[in-house]
Amino acid sequence: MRPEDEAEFAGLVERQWRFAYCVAWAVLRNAADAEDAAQETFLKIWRARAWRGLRDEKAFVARASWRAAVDRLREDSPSRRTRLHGQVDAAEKSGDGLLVDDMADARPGPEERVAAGDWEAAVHRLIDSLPEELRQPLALSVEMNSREIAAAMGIAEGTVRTRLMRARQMLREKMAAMEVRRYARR
Amino acid sequence: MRDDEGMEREREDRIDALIGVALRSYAEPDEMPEQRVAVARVMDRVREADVLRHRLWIGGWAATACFAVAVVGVMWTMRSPRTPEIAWTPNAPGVVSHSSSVSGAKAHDRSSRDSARLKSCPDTKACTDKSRVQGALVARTKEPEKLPKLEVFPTPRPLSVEEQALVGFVRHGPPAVQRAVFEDQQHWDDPIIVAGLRDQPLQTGSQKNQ
Repeated sequence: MRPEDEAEFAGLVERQWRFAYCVAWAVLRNAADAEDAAQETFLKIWRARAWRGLRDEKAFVARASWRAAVDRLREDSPSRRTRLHGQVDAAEKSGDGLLVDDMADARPGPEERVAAGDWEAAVHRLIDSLPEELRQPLALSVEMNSREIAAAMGIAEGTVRTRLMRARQMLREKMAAMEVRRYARR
Repeated sequence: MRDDEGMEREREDRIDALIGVALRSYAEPDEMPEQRVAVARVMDRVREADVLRHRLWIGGWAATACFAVAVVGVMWTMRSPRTPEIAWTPNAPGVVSHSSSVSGAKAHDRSSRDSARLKSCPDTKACTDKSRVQGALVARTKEPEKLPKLEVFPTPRPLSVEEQALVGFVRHGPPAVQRAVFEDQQHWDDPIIVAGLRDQPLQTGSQKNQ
């Protein structure tokens, strides 16, 4: 490795490390996995010698990081995926879309969070319960716009907007239902 | 009616605001390694990967070179001649095979079949000697044990009693005999012609009396 190459690449890592980590975090929701995925992202970029003369550095890193995170998610233990999909299935099966059957997770459910006045944590649990195709664009929408998300995930920008709208609509409905139940209990 | 719509809109706005706030905190990692440390880790892994890649590159080339040498060796071995050689040896009666795995007769057959090379006899005198060269074919293969190298070829040996008698007869005989023997030596490989025998028919007793 030539010193000038190393310095140039280190500059890229310093500029984009946080962004790559956040993208991986949005997909994986685990600090250790996100760090591994971010490191893997930069290793792949280094091996491919693709880091020179990039037109859109951020978009390139976003795509690579999202890819690495999704690969890691697929390699992840089946229990996590089962839990995620189990939550989604349970939410879809319940009439009002609430997470009723949440036996696999010991954490308090969204309704308990709401009852305790912890709306933020309740929304986090609701976001976790969304299908991956809706959850990922929603989580990425904090760091990126629709065009960048579309480039990272390799889908059309219109599809991203549709998924974002659907995700927000589902969250609104679930929160409204929780609010109604909360007032009904009083 | 308007109050209901207003309340509903207010409620939706409140929910949207909650979702927005919660989403920002959702996307913000709980814990994040310090950037300086993270960059150092990435660069360490990059250097390790570079070293490993270099080693793999060298190992790959070494393996390729070994494989090429092995292929060349195998090809060279397969191309080298294995057919037995046949040479004139004046002092060996008959065909003798030195191959341990093949019998003498088989070796001779194989050698004739494979049109093996014939080595010219280095000693013309010996080759012309009828008594010494008869059937002196030896099939030799490459594999057998090495024979001791002789200083004089072909190996000298004393004349037999018959040969000594012939030499004495010619030396002390008349010139006609010497010439006849000399001519015979020149045509030693000609077929031997035996003159036809003429025998009178048997005579009966009456024929004898007449």
